Amino acid sequence: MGFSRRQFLTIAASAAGGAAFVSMLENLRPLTAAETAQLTSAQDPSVKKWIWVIDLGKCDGCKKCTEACTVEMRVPPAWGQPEYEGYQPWIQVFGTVGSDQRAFFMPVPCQNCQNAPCVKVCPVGANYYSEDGIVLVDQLRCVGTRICIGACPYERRFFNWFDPPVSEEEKSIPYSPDYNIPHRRGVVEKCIWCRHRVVVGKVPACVEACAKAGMKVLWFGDAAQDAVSDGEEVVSLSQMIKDRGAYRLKEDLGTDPRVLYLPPQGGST
Amino acid sequence: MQQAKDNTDQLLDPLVRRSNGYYLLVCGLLAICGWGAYAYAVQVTSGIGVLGVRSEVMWGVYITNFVFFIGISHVGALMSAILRLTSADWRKPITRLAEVVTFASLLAAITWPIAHLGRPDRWFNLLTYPKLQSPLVWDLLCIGTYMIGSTIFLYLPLIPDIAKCRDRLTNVSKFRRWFYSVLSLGWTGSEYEMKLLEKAIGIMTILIIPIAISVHTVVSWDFAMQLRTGWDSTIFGPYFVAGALLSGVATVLLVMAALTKFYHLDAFITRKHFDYIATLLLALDIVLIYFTINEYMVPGYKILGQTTMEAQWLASLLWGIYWPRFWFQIIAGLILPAIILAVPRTRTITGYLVASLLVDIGMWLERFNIVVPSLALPQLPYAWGQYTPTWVEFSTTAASFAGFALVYLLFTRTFPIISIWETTDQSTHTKLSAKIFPKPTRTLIGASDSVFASRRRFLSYGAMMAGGFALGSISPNIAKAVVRGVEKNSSDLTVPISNLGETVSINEVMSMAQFQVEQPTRMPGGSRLDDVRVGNNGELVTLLYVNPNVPSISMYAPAVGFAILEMADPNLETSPTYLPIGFTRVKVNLNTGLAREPSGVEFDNRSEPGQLQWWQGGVHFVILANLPIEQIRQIAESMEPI
Repeated sequence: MGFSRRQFLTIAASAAGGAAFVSMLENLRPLTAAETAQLTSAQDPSVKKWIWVIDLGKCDGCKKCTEACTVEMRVPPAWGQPEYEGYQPWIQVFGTVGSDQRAFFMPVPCQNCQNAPCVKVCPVGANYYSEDGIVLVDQLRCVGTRICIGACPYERRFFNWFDPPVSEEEKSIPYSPDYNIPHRRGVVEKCIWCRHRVVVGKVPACVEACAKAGMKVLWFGDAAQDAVSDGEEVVSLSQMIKDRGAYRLKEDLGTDPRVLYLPPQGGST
Repeated sequence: MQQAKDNTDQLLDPLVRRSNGYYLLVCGLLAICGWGAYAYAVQVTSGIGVLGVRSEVMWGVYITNFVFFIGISHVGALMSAILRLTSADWRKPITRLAEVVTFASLLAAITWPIAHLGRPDRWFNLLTYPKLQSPLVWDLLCIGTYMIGSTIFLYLPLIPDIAKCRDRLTNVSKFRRWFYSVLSLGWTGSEYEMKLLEKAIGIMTILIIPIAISVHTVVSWDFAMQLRTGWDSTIFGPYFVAGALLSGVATVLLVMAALTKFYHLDAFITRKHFDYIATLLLALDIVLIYFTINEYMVPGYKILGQTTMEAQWLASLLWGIYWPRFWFQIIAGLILPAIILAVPRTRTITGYLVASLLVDIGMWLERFNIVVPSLALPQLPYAWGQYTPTWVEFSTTAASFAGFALVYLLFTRTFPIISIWETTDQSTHTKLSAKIFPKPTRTLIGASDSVFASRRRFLSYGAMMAGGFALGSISPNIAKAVVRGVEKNSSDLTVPISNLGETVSINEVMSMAQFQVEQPTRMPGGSRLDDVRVGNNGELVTLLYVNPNVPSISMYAPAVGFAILEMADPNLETSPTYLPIGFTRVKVNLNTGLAREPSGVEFDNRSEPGQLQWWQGGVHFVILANLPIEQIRQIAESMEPI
């Protein structure tokens, strides 16, 4: 299997963590029936219960999702932190080579834990859950202690170390935690699952880009309605879990993430 | 008393003496602080990105400094409160200098959490929108409480000394006189004020210990409450507290050496103090070695060689990229100081200073090794985080240490750094530990000097009651009587004078006492009968004499020269067969008695009066006086019935 230059760099960068990555995949535990039932049930069907399904078997590490995210959310520069072409990788694609010399790629957006460590530790309550379960940051409240960055076990939080470049057009956008633009200095940034899009019935920008590239890796949906979509077709969430078996990252920490990973078929797991 | 006056002058000397070296030092420290302020201004205007911290390693030197300074601040609580409670009276000359370490290091510490904020302009959100779920809010509450508490704890024992400054320092500037006058709260040094002060200090002594422990435990929870490899530890609370005490004691040793050298305090801070503190340092060092073994060896035994994140984190410390820092901290910061402090040949002042410096550097690195590697460890498979502090971090850190030194220096130039009233004034000497933790059972068992000392808690005329207890240890009957008296009065320990009974005139004594009361006919010149008490249904008669030439036997009443106690004791015709520690047998008019020489002024400025006891016709006589035993015997032999 040939790699593009970008894929090779991704793998090289992750060489240090490669062993951990393999062990992480090996340690994955499929969701139990009870967990699946809990996940796909809803007390109030009218309240959305957003969920993300990522098919690891299909990802080839093209990073179209990260590119789309950077454009859609006008993601601030990374200033030397782990970066995607100079920008904060809100959805980051990790890669490594498994024991059978096969490459694996794993896109990681914010896991939107329902028992989120970042929400717990914030001293001013700037981190909070929206009613549909998305962890948001009120960047007008945030004081920049960065303790939530330390608390996040998925490294899905970023910080604006300097003044981010803000165009005139961005300045005209009224700030809302649902669409955290314009960006500002000294506060925490994170993937907010494109809440400004999903509340009006669209899938997040990265999901749309993935489907447009024909990858069908990212699926986004509403667990309360047992449906996920890649923006083009809609499938049953419970059927998907039943067919492939779903995993969550670092299940043992008890963070209750809302992102499910479908294992790569025939892989080293 | 002449000696005491000289000490006061010597201790007040640094407050008025000013030299070029002093101004140079202040200017130098101010310059470093100014440079740090400039660096911080750059950070505020350009953004916190001028620091070396980046997304994964989002905390660095700033948080390390914060934990380090908070750690140092614990020594005040240890020196003052714990040593106070355990009756370690040798602590007196160094109590305040340890408390000032607390004060100055807390000032240094609280700047860091604000300085490290991404939005320092919004720091007040921490007060207006605090979320109690967050460890940082616990921090805020604990450190705020500790700051206020330790400042009060420093201020209370300072009041009598500020009053001394107000009274003695008459040729200082008008502002300073006003300053001392306001802060001294109109202190006059009366017995009533002294009692109030002691009560307040007693309350703060008890309060400050849990507060101090909670502070560093909560600081450790900033880390331990997070789901992060290396921080996810249950022993972080005690581990941090032990490290805090260790670094604090090391700092106090350094400060002691500097003060002794520059302020010529050798008369107060003696070699013995250095030896004691060094031993304390050694003990704490060993405790920390023990904790370190638990923290690293226990997981290491189980996980090293695996591919888990814990194993990678531990390997990075033991032989990975962080090994130089880690092993420097273990070997130079923990093991080497322990050896220096334990080997007799290196137990010199120089050895102590080297060990303290190593411990302080080691403890700073220890905090750094806790903060940074855990953050650099990738939580998802990616490269390790990098962290190199920039010039801004170095500058602000230097400014913080300089600021600590500056606050300390200015304090020693404004207030006496050694407690004058606790170290020089016999009359106002306190015995706080005994007041708080009475040891009634021990008073019945032995009569060793150390136990003896703690009995004085029950007295205002302390030494007289001490005599009563000494008798109690000799005569079982009286022991019971005294204990009954104590039980009766235990709810009101501050007025134990009631134990001695009521004041009567010398003529009334004959009718009230149940035995033939005797009175000395030959007394040292200038003696005057001041007070006569009859208590215990006429079984106890006390004669109190004042004499300006004889040092007082009471810490509360400077005027009391000596006391004669007479007790009905029909069960004991002669002196007991056993001999209490420190006593010798003497003859008083052919009756056997027990005598003990006055202890003289001891190392910690405490003294026990001389005692002579004898039994004669069913009456137990006791004389307490700060006189040679031969003179007391002469008084005793001159006793005649009234």
